[in-house]
Amino acid sequence: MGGGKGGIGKSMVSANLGVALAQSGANVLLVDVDLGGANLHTCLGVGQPNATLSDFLRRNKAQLEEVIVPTGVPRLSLIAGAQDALDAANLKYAQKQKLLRTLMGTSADYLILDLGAGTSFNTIDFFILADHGVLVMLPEPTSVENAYRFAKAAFFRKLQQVESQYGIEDLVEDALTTREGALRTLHDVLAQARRKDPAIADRLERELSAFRIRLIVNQARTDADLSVGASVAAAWKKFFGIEMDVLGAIRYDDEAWRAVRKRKPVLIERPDSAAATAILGIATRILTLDGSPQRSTP
Amino acid sequence: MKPFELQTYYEILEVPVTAPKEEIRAAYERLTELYSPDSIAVYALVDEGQVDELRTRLAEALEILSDEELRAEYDKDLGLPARRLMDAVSTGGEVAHAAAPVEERAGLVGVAASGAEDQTGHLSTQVPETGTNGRPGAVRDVPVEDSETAMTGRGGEGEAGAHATEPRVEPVPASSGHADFRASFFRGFSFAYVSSSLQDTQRMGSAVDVPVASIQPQVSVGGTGTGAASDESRREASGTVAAAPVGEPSAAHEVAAVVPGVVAASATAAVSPGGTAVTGSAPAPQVSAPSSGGDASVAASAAVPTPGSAGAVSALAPVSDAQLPATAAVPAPVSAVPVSAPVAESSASAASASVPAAAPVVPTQGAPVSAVAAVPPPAPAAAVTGAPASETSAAPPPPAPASASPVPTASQAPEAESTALVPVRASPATEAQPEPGRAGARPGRPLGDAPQIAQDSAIATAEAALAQASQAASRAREPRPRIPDIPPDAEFNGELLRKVREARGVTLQQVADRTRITRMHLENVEADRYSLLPPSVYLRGILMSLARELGLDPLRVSKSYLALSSEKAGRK
Repeated sequence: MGGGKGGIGKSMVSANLGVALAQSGANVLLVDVDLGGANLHTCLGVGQPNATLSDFLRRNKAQLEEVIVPTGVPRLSLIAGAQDALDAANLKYAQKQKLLRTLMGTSADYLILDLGAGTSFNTIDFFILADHGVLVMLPEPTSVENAYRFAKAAFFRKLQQVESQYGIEDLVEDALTTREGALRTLHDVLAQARRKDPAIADRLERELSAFRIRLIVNQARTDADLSVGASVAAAWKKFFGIEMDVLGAIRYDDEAWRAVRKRKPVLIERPDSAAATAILGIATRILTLDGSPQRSTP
Repeated sequence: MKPFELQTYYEILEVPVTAPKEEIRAAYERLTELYSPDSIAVYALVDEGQVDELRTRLAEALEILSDEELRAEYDKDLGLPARRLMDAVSTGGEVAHAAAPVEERAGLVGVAASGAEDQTGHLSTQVPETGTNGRPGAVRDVPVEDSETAMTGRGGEGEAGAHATEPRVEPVPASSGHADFRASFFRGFSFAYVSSSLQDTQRMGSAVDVPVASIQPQVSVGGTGTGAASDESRREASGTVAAAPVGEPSAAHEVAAVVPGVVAASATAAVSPGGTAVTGSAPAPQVSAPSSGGDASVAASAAVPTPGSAGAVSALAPVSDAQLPATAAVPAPVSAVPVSAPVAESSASAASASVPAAAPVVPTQGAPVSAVAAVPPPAPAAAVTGAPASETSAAPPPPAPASASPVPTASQAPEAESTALVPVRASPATEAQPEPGRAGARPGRPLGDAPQIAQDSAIATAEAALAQASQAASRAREPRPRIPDIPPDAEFNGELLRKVREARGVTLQQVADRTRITRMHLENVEADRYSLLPPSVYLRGILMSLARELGLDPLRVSKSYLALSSEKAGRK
C-alpha cells in the first residue's frame, strides 16, 4: 500500500482493507512498514504496542511471531511499526533483507504492508515485492504527481532488480539517471535491450507487464473524482504502455474521519457508510483477482 | 508497449479500425478531455511537450479518420481491408443483419464491391449508348474507379463475393435483356449490393436524369416482404411509395428485389439520356430510403418518389417486381444515414455519387426521413422515361459505384464535378452539403424546387445526426466546465469562440500562453476582424489550435470560421 504522498489515507485504507479481508475469511497480517512514521496501530484502535517491528529488527534471533499483536478483529493481526527507535526509519540493507525474507515466509493469506510516504528504496522495495502493488491517490494534482513518481520509481527499481539477470545494467543505469519526467525511457530501455537480444527483451517486457499496479482513489468528492482512477490508468497506459488496474474509488466520507478520531476502523464503526462500502468493494475485487485467497502483499 | 508516437491513429484514439465516425468523434472528445492541459490525469505524468504532442496526434487522427477519403487512404497504408461499407452496414444495424443473414458484413461488403464492378461495367456500356448525356466520358471514368475501389476495398468475400460475381456477369448482358439482369438480381443479395446499385443509379440519374421514382419504390420494398416490395415499388411509381415502406428488414430476398428496382432505375437513367429527365436524381432518394432500414425511411422515400413522373415510375415498377426478390432492405441501411445530405446533392444533379458516400457516414440516425426528402427531386425526371427504363432495366448496371463510394478514393471526388457520378466521394455529410451547390450549377439541368427542398431536408437530417453525436460526446465529458450547447449548424464566429472560452473559464492570456498564438491574433479572431487576421493558411492553424484548446472540433471550427471570413472578404 503505497502512494508517494503523505496523508492520503494509506494507513486508513490498509487497516480497513485488512478488516474487510479478514471478515471475508482470510488470515490477514498487517505490517506497518512506515518506519519512523508508524500509526497503523492507532487506525485499528490497538493501544501502544509492547512489541514492534524494531524489536524484531534489532534483536538477532527474534522471531516475527513475537512481535505480532492481535487487533481484536478475528483473523486480523498486526505488526506495529517501530515507534520507539528514532533511527528506525533508516533501515539497513541487511535488516531489510531479513525483514523481506521473513515476511515472505509468514503463513498469512494476505500480508498488507502499509508503506510510508516518499520513494526511498526502503519503501519501493516493499512495494515491488507485492502481488498487488496498491497505489493510493487523491484526486488532487499533488497526490497524482507523487503517485506517478512513485509508480515510475517502482518500475525502475524493478528494472534494476532484474538488470543483472538480463545484462542490461548500463541501460538501466542510464535510464535511472535521466530526469524524472522521462519514464518514456522505459520504451528506450526495452528497445535497446531488444537490439542486444530480442529474447531477453521479450522476457523483460513480460516481467514488467506482470507487475501490475492497482489504483485506489481515496477521498473522491465528486462524481468526476470517481473517474480519476480510470483516467490515470488510461494516461499511464497511453504513455508507458503499461496497464494499471483500478480497484475502486472511496468517497470522501466524514464517517471515515470520525472513525479515525475514535481510533476505530470505519468498517467496524460504521459498516454502512459510503467509505466502508467502497472498501468492501475493493476487497471483493482483490479476492476476485486472486481467485482464491492466497498470500499477497498489497 | 508501444509509445504513442508509434501508435496508429486507431490506437491513438483507442477505437477499433471498424469504428464508425460517431465513435471516432466521441473518442476524440473524450481523449482531448483526458489529455487537456488542465486534466489531473496527465499532471506531472510526462513532459508537457509530450502531452502537447499527443494532443496534436489526436487531432491528426480525427482529421484523417473523419474524412472518408483520407481514412481510406490511411487504411490502405496500414494494409487494412477497405471497410467503408462495413461501417455503413454496421450503422445500419438491423437492416444490415436482416439482409446479411447469410453472410457476414464483410461478405456483404465484398458483394457490394463486386456489384459495383458489375455496375460499372454496365455504366460504361450504357454510357456509349446514352452519348446524348454529353459527358459519357466522365461517366465511364467514374465507374471504373469505383469498381477498382470496390475491388480493393472488399476484403471479405465468401458467398457474398460469389453472388456479386454472378450479378456482374449478368448485368453486363443486362443492358441487352431485362430478363438476365433480373435473374441475376433475384438471387438474394446483400444490401451492400443493393446500395451500390442504388448509388449507381443515382449517378446515372444525375448524368441521365432517369426517373427517380422507380428507385424509391424499391427501397420501400426492401422493408417489406418480396410480394409487398413489388407492390410498393408499383406504388412508388404511382407516388405512394412512401407509405408502403413499412419494411421489415428481415427478408434478405426482398432486399434483393429492391436492388433490382434500383437497377432498373439506373437502366432507365441510361436510357433517358435523350430525355434529360431528372430521374437520375431519383435513384438517390432511394438510397436514402434504404438507409432507414425498414422503417421510417420508407415513408421518406415515398415522399420523394411522388414528385411526379408517375408514369415513369410505373414503367420501372414492373422491373422492380421481377427483381423484387433481390434485396431492397440492405442497401438502405447502409446509405441511409449519410445519404440524406448526399441525396440532396444527387438530386441536384451530379451530386448523386456523393450522396451514396454521405449516406454511409450518417447512417444510423433518423436521417432516413431526410433522405427521403432528398429523393423527391428525381420524381420529376421519372416522367421522362418510364418505358425506357423498363427496357434498360436489363442494363441497370447500376450502381456499383455506390459500393465503390464507400471506399472513397480521392479520384472519385473529382469525378463528381464532372458528372453526376462525381458526388460519390463526398461521403462525409459535411462535404456533401457544399456539393449541392455544384449540382445546382450544372448546365442544362432543369432543377426544380424539389431538389432544393431535398437538399435542405438532407442537411437538416445530417445536422440532427451530428447534434446527437455531439450530445453524446458532451455527456461523456464531465471534468471540464461545460461549454454552452452549440447547435450542430452553428457558425463558429468570433463571438461563439469567445463564449466557449469564457465557459471554459480561461482567459485570452491563458489561451495565448498555451497555444503560443499571440494574444493579438486571438483578440482579432474573437472580434471577427477578418482583415487584420493573417492569411488563411496561418489562420487555419490558429483556429485549429484554438479549437483544440477549447475542446472543440478543430476541423469544424476552422472550416466554419474560414468560410465566414472568406465570405466577408469576398463582399468587400
